[in-house]
Amino acid sequence: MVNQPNDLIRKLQEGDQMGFTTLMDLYQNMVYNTALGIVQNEEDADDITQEVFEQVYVSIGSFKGESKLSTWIYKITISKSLDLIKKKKRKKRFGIVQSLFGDSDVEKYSPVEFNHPGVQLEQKERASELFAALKQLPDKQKIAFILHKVEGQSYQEIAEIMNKSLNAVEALMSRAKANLKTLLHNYYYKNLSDQ
Amino acid sequence: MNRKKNVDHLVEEAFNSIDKIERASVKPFLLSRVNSRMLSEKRNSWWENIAFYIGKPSFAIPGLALLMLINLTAVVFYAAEPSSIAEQNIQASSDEFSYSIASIYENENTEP
Repeated sequence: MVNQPNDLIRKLQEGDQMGFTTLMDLYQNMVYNTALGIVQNEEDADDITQEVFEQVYVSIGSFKGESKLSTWIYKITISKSLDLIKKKKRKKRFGIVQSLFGDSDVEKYSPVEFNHPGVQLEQKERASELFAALKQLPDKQKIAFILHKVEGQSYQEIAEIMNKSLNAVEALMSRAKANLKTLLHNYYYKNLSDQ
Repeated sequence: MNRKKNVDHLVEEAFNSIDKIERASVKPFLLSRVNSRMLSEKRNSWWENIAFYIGKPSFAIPGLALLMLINLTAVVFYAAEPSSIAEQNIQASSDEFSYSIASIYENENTEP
């Protein structure tokens, strides 16, 4: 990760197109993978990545440099991803209402199994079950877990991204792990008894 | 007991499944897509946005139906009860142009 690229920020604030290209080269994977972990859909993650860079381009003038550029971009990515999840939930509710009146479009909003492209082949099944459980966590726990386990961020960095204390992040992570264990236990108990 | 062991093992496996996760790659030409997205949004002025919403079938069809309903209502009401003002106007014009006055030929014929 680039260490506070002041030169890049200055170039971006001057509207330099090459600076924008460099920014995208540096951060596109970070943005895409964070969004992918949260929304669990490749098309949506791609859309969010575009939106994030558009937002960065428009708002770079207001970036004061008080935090790292990557922290700021992470914040935008998380906010856009959570917005999309809310939007989808609203659509899903609307779809259910529509289905009551005969227009059964609920199918296209129903959750599908997510296979993260970065997971090793032999781990795909378990990882998919973990991601399904992750979906059911409260937003803050989900974000902390993804930033730590998928993005490999330290608790200190997560604290900066989420505007929380180190203790709060530790508490979030421990709750996330406990909840995931419970969800997975329930899932496997049910599935083993069904077989 | 055996079942509990199995479940614990599966949970453990699920937790470890993303330990060696690699980063997924973004689809190619992201920069071009971002640029074209920004350009297209710039082009969309306020009026274009309004036109876009008005042009949507969900807005346009009920809008047209409402306009037609208003027109039909107006036609039905005005056709059923011709207003007194309209009648007065017809009367006034008929008086002014004296439709009932006989032509000069008739006057001629009435003279002895």
